[in-house]
Amino acid sequence: MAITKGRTSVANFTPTLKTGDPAPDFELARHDSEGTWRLHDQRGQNVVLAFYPFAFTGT
Amino acid sequence: MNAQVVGISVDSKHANRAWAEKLGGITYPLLSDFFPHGAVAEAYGVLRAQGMSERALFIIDADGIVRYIDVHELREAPDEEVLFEELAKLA
Repeated sequence: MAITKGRTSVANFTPTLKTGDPAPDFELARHDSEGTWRLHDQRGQNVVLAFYPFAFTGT
Repeated sequence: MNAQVVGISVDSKHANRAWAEKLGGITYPLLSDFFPHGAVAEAYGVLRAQGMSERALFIIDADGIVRYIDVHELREAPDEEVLFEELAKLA
């Protein structure tokens, strides 16, 4: 499946979130260390969460 | 870019590590939404019925508020210029 870049958003909301909502906190294992990464620990800086379907499927 | 970027998928940590090596190293953490499977994607409303997540971007500001959501076509990678523009608005 070819991955192209573009701006054709499907939606700017999801079934559970819209802009202005508090982001649900979470803590997950990270690939580059034995530690975890927790959203709440990032307070004070902007965060970009990039969800992607599977590894090995393009960017 | 004044932001912490993380990638999130339902892949295991092992798969993410292997992928990062194949890409030649990446500068941001890949997080495993692996157990319970897809729980974070579900909380954010981007878990697909097939068990994988949508291709989606969220920008969260310094106070933990969602400021931007972009759910993308699965076959299309988001344009990072859009991210820079949205982050500039928060500066």
